[in-house]
Amino acid sequence: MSEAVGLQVKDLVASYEGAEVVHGLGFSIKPSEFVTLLGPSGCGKSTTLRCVAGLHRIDSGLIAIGDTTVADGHTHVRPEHRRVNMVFQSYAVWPHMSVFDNVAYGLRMAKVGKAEMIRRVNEMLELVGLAEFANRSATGLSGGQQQRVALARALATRPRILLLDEPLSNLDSVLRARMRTEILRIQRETSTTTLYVTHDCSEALSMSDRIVVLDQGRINQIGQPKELYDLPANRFVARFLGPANFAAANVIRVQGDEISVVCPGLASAPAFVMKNGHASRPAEGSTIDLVMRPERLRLQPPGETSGSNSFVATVLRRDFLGSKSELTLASGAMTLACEVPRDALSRVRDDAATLFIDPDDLTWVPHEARSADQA
Amino acid sequence: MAMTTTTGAPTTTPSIGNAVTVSFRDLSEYAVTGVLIVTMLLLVGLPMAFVILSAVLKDPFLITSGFSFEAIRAVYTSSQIWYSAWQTVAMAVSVGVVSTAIGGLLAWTLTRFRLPASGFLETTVIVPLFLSPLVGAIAWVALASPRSGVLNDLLTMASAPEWMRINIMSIGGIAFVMIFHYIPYGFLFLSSALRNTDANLEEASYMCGGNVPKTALKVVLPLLRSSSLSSLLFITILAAGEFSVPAILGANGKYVPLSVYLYEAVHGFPQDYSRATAIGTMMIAVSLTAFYFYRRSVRDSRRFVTVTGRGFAARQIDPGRWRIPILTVFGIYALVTVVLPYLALLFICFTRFRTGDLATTVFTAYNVVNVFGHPGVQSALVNTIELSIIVPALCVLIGVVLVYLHERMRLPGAGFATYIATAPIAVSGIVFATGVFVIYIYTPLYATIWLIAIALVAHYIAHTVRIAGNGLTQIDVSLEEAAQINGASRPRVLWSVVAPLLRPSIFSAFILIYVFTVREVNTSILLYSPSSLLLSVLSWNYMADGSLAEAAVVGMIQTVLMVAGIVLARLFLGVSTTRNAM
Repeated sequence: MSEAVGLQVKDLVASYEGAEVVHGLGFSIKPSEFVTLLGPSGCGKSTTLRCVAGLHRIDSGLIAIGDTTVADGHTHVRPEHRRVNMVFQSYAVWPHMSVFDNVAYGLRMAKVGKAEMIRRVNEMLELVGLAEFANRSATGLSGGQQQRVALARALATRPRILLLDEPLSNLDSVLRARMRTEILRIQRETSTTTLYVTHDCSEALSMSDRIVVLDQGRINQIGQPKELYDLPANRFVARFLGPANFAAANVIRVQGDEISVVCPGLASAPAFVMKNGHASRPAEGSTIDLVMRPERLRLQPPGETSGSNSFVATVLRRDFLGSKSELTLASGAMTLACEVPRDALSRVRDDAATLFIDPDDLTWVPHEARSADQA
Repeated sequence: MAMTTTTGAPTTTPSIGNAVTVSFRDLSEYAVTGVLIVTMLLLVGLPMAFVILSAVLKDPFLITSGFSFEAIRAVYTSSQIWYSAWQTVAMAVSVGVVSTAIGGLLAWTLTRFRLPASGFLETTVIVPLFLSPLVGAIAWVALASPRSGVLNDLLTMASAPEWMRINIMSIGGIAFVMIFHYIPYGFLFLSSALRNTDANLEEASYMCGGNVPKTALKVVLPLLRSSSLSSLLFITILAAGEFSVPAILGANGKYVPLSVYLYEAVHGFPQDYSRATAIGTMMIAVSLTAFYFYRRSVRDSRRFVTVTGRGFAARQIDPGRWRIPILTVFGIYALVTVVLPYLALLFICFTRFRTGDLATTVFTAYNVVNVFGHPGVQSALVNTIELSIIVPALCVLIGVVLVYLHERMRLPGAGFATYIATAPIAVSGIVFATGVFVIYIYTPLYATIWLIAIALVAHYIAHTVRIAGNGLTQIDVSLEEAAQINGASRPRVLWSVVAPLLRPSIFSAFILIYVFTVREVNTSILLYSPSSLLLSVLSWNYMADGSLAEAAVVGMIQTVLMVAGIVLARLFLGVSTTRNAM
């Protein structure tokens, strides 16, 4: 494999059909790193990817692959000269060619010698598990197989950056899970620098070294999956990475990394303490939003004394989901979601449930006006 | 670029050639667009403009001769012309309605019932599209002219009563021949709409308790409303400009459409091009009105029809005891449109000196030998073959370039050029030819087949634009992007990905224009000269001289040319003529 290089994107501005959709994006990828652009549809993540590929012209900013600037406001290196490769959402496997010819295309364009070309195509087909399909026509393949052909084709040219544009969105859920591990395995084996685009948070969390969360053409947060999930920078990130309950809280005291708050929105205004994982600290007397992940909320066994970090609620609905159960509860003016083990469901009383959350499981985001809502 | 490098030094700085600056790109884009628009205006816009301009010039061929509204006044105040305009519209709309209804019924039957050999049945319905209306008219004169038609002779031999005799040379006869020529258009319009309509919509109606006829009435028909309207208007435009069928069948002067008056103004004595172009303006007004509503209906039908790449599981009903009646209808259709006319043509070709009694028929090759010995026929054959290769080649080339620049390169102005290119659909061949004639009369192109070629290319680009456009939209853009990102340059992408995927569309566009060119008579009848004679003109001239047998022989030669072209395309290029025709 060629020595991996990084990618740098600076102040990227791009328009789509006349409207500016990417407003000054900046991030970088280290050699061999797997970075995901995560965001809802229309957030500009695909446009950003296409800018890196060279399929979309940027308005201003800079894109550099390794030490080479491939795009700024004035120059635009055409995609065929960027030495990157891409897996398209629709796979884009050429229907008039065999599997072999699809994978060999880029190598032929690069005028790789015949013996070397055959060896590398076979190596790629081996890698994606399609060795025996080489001479098949591309039209007869299933979705998953087409996906593998697209991946093999993209890797065959040993691209400096591998770009993947929602590659799993057209697959059914079982196949999606399998391809997820497959793509990751191949990425690790080839140690190709990878930029992956998706709107699916579980794909992003499970595959990425780092995630760039985008919303409306702007970056909300960049970080490792666990970091983003446990310490979201704002409400959007918290919610986009998984279900979350938000509760407005008044900061009473900040001591070291321990924050004490009171939640007036919950029944009988309970007090909470939490460990501050963020770099910044809230000011005493200010308002913040507590983030309570449904799986971190625990049902207090009846009769146990409730102290700090717990509050009472009434059960509105119980949903049995097999491996676990989901409760919808009301406390004060708020409605909350809570995940409980399946056997805990029978032990909870409708009118008086007590919920507890560990100080280490609690985090906060800056307060936003919509106070009482849940995931 | 070296993608094979295993040392991976990624510092190759892009050369100047790769770094296309934005301003240069814009400049070349404007140049290409300018050339495109000017070409389309000269080729297509100018003839149409000159039809209108010549109508108000003192000398229709001289732009500096000053204005005169004499011809316009004469035409627009003539009660004879207004009566003809009314007749033209009434006939065209009737033909449109009936052809769409029959075509639609055939389409619904074929898509929704499980029938044996449905592919063959579909081809059967399409066949008249590839036969010439002129040849069809000649054949029906042979079959059912009141005095010597073969069918009428058979009726006499069977001593059938007088009222059963068929008179094809009547208003009903003209309508009949036109309808059977235009049914395939209605069929294609509606079968593509039906195929693109999710069968689930109908199944939902069955779930709600609707039976087959109720579902057809309440769900299918409303869904097809816009497509039916498009079909009706499209056929109306074509039928309003149709010249050969009413001119040959004549109806004893009871039905004289505008196209025939225009023809008479050009070929009568004295020749009157001012009058011809004045009548042309009236025909343009008629067809533009229909075209306006056609465009609207096409837009509406896009809204209704769900077009996705994935095929719907077509739900097909078992016809049960209706199977035999349905197949019988298709059999009768084939008999009337193909079998009877061409048997009659063959019969006329190989008989002589018939005296009203079929029993005394003498079979001979005299007519065939006679026609082939005629030097005019040989040159007409060569001219026709030349023209029918030049015209489709140019049409396909221009059409594909237009569509690619518009749809893929998104060049500013390419959309406008494409719009101009599709306009001639609204102008009938005979009117368009009038415009071409007045422009080129003093140029060296006059009296060559190139004059006819220009007129036909301009007139037919619209079809290649449509077919190539449909073909291109079916090619996912990411297929091209994937090639680009694998290192292929723009020309390389075109050659290795676009061309092979577009090939079926290109071939079927070519073969469609080939057939149109071989059978064409509405345009060439105004533009031919003794040195640029075509088969279709020749058969028309034989017919005008009353030489039915010779006309039939030439008609057969034309038919053989068309069939040979289609068969060759099927065999060697694998072109499906039925799918992409519309």
